[in-house]
Amino acid sequence: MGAFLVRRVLFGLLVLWIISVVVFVMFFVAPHDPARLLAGRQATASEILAIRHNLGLDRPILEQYGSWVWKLVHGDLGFSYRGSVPVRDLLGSRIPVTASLAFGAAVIWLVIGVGAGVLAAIKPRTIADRLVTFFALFFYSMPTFLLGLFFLFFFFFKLYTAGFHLFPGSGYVNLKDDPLGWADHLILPWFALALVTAAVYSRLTRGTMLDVLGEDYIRTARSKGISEGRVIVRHALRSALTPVVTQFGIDLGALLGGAIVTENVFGLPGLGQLAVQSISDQNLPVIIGIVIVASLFIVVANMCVDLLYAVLDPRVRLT
Amino acid sequence: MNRLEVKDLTVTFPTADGLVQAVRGVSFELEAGKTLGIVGESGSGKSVTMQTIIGLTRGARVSGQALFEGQDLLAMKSDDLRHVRGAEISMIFQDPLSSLHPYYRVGWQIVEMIRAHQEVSARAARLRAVELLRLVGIPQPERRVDDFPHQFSGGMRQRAMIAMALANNPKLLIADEPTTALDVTVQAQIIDLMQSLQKELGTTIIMVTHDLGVVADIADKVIVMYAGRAVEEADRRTLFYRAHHPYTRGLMGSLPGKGGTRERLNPIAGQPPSLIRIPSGCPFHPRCPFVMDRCLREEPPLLDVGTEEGHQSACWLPPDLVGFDRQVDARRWTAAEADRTGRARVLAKGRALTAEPAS
Ligand SMILES: Nc1ncnc2c1ncn2[C@@H]1O[C@H](COP(=O)(O)OP(=O)(O)OP(=O)(O)O)[C@@H](O)[C@H]1O
Ligand code: SF4
Ligand SMILES: [Mg+2]
Repeated sequence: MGAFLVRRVLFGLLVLWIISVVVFVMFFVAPHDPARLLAGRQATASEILAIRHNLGLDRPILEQYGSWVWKLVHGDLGFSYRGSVPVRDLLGSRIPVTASLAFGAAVIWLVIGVGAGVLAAIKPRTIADRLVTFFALFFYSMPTFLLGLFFLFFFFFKLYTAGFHLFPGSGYVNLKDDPLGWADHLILPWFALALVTAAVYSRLTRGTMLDVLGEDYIRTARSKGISEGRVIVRHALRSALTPVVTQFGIDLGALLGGAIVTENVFGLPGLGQLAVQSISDQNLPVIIGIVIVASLFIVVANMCVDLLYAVLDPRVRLT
Repeated sequence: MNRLEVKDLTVTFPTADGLVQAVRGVSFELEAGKTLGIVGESGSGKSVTMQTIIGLTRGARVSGQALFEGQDLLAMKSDDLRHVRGAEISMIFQDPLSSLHPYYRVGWQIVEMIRAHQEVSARAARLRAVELLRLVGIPQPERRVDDFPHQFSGGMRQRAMIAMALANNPKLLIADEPTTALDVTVQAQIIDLMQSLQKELGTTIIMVTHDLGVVADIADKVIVMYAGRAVEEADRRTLFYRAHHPYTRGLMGSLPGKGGTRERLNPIAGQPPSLIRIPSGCPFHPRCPFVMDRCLREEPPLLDVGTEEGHQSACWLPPDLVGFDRQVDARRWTAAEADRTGRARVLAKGRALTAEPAS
């Protein structure tokens, strides 16, 4: 287990290093003149020269890369062009919003997806199974932004005009300040983001559960005289979770992508909203910051998923 | 009292292709402390019979009775049956490689079995698990109890399965081809182990097997199954030396025109029948060298044959025609011949032609 951990962490670091090189090349080497890109359209020639010098673009590439990475690991991502706020602070204020959205949605998608899948698998070809299939197909064919708009229309607009102020139409409050308000602001975005993937997961779980339920060791479990609930949860679900966890690792990128869309639909001031804004502003330091944070998230999350995988399947641990 | 008494057990599976008649009226009795061997080709309904008795067949229509110490297992509520399963009746399955849960330690799986039926602490259950592993001959059980199944060899896994099955001192142990997936030396070890455990613990055993050697070693009584029915039943000696049913003889490799060892079940020419469309009359008739007209029309009931107490066979051949020698073969042949009127159809079956008696 220890060796596995070390190997996995080293691999994660390698991936991060590759990402840093790719980002550096993309933003600082490949453009014809990064200083001009950074300075924006209305910059004068002397401004560009100053920027070039500030960025150290007149120095050798390796040296540039070295100092960029040095700043990066110290959390120095430069300043946003808008209001000259440090990018670090800007990201810092946005990350909790996106994290809340993504984490909550992931929990909901796993609980609903896996739960519905298990239900469908233990009662195959019954009404419950067909209902799960129906809803899965329905949500599966529903893009997140469309579902978000529907939610806004029915649960915000319709309820609001009918006099029920149940869900806010936009905005965010901090978990620390007001936990209930936090959940209230996020519940519609959570579901909008979660249900599409939950549909996929219910199908995946149903399939793997059906396979596992046909395994010899499930028959052994039943022959022991333990309760059927224990057979389903401790024996069958335990095995069926492995492919679900694998899939979850793959879907983390999609989760982030979905979060961008959802934040923009629901007016949540998170990283996704910031990303869209910064791209239209050509606010390069912020874009770079977001790319780095997103990569970091995916690498670290994947590492966690792999560790979880090793916890779930003892055969992984030993190899 | 009989430990187990199965009466007219019938199991059918409704499937998309039609009704699969997996078990069609099987009855047998088993005294406490004895071993019953069940043999038959693949698909003859051995596993379904055993699994139905302890309530493990799903999606099937079941009728009949399975009286375990007088209590009908088939009529019990599933929760009540659960308390019998694993405690008083336990089962070992064919493939030890896939029968243990790959994600749980061997000890954990045995402890689960113990604690499902006994109010003992986790500590005590673990000690018992170590004890059981020692009993079945796992070396260094204190250490191996924490291994995962994939760290065990095939033979060790089957030993672990046996340890688990014995965890609650069951009165009846059903072993469904416990050695088929193992190599020959390991097979012998496992059978030895089961024999010595039976001596020690007095467990009643049902041994489902393809291996006539196993039957010869440990069975007191043997049932031969074909197409969901018991076609012959006898004590071990009678079955080996004075078999009546042509199918039994086929299994033992002594059908006319065929040599073969008596060790393994011999393949018999032709296929086992479809259990959705079972042949008319005697289900064995398409493959039987002694087929007679009557065999095509009427299914023979299981009746007393030969001279031994409890020897029964479901075949229209004369009831005194038991045994292996060529004389009997010749008499069987004549008996079949005498009954034959529409011979062309029957002789065209090929097998019949090779069964000419060596006069
Ligand atoms: N759940 C099920 N649904 C439909 N048919 C089934 C089901 N379970 C078993 N059968 C059928 O019942 C028949 C008897 O199967 P069974 O497993 O009892 O055979 P067996 O004698 O144990 O053979 P083997 O030696 O291969 O283990 C087979 O034809 C099988 O296809
Ligand atoms: S009843 Fe007829 S077909 Fe069936 S086994 Fe006996 S002789 Fe053969
Ligand atoms: Mg079987």
